[in-house]
Amino acid sequence: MKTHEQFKTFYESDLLDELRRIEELRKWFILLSVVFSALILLCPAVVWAKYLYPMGDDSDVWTLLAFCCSVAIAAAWLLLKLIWGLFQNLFKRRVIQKILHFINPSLDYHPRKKISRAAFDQSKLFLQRYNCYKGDDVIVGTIGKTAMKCSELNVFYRDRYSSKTIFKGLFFIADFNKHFKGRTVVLPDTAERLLGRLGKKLQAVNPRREELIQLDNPDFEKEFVVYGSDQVEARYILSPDLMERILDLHRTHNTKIYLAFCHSKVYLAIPLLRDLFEPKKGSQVNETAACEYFRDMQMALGLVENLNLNTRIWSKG
Amino acid sequence: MPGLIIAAVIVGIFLIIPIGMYNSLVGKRNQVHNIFGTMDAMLKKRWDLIPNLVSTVKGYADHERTLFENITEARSKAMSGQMSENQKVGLENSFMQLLGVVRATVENYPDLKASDNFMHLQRTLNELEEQISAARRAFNAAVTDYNNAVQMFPTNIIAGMFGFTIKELFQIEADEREKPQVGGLL
Repeated sequence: MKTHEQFKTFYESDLLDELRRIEELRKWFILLSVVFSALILLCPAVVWAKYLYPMGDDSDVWTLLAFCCSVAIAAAWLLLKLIWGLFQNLFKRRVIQKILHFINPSLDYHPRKKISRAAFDQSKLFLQRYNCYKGDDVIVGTIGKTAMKCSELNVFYRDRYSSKTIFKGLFFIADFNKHFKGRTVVLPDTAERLLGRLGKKLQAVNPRREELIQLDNPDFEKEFVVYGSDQVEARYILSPDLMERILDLHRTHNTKIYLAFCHSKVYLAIPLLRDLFEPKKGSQVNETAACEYFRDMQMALGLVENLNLNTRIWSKG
Repeated sequence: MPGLIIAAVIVGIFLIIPIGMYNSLVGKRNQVHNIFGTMDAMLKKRWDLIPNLVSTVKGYADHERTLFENITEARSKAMSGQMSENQKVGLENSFMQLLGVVRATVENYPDLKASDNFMHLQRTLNELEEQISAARRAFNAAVTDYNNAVQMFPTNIIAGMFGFTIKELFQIEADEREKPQVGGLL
């Protein structure tokens, strides 16, 4: 992994000029948005004038004008969206990709792709029903000896009246360093924290999950609840060292963490409120922003080291 | 009539609760046996690897005869099938020490350490040891759960009536906690 000082040197030498060009483009976009917004505000004003000051029998002209205004508003809105899309794409290709290759040149970046719905379902981390599955920013490749893939996901259920987020954040998949056959799921423990022993009893009879696994690390038990298809295998996967590492990860990011171990892989979901690797219309693309992208990227790629996945002392080479 | 219903409900409750407690105790005891079985299978798997390990190390370090004899002797004892559970645990503990000695010995033979065969064996042993450790943890969790049920009120009444007794946890022996004394074992 790279240090902050190394990133600063890279920023000065390779990223600064690019960021200045991108910032110029962003400012142009903001200016264009202001002009279009003014036009958009002007159109309804013209149409309202028809009702306020009717002038003889010129209804056809006014109807035509109202139609033209509506088309103009829709066109301006679409155009702005298109331009922002192009800007985002350019930003990701020129800034995010550069930061990624500075951290690890062997990784590939696909700004428009996402982790597949099948992989998300396979993890069985989130069993709630959803009908909207969105995402972007796939990073894929091998870090050390570990094949990995991650992307931002936004999964939610939406009906006519409301929308409920199932998961929004970073979804990470990596090859696990031990062989196993079953499934082990690690979820944030809410029931036990709220209801104490009764919560634990309720967790034990959860019909949607497999067997409850009670582990021997009290700190880990306090933060997480573990379900698995095999008591011994779950402990083989969740060694004392890995439990401590998961706890460290949870404390560092101060957020809920979801983990699933199945199909020889580890699936990790970290919910985040903000968007990752996205330019913001209202804030400058400068050193502070670049440092934030760098930190997010380190966080995503550092998961392999955090979980010690490159240690290959077992029969799975 | 309502009196009859109330009496039936009370009798039902007095029958259902003990039955539930008894079944829960049996379930917990079976879970202990089940996990012990898994652990036993893993230990057997590890013993099966020993001849392979001995022959590989012998090829490079033939003069460490005492070590090989100790390992072979431990394996013969384990495979004899005439040991109690406690004896098995004791043997496993001393075998862990022997494995530590093998690893320390291998450090003196870089060719052996780098050989494909030894590396493969080393990985397999690491895996089995971690699986055995996981099985021990699972066993201890199951025994604690069972022992709690046997000792806590009101299940202790049923446990006492039907002869459920507490079980021993797997504990690391004091000498296993210390660093293996290579010289003494060789």
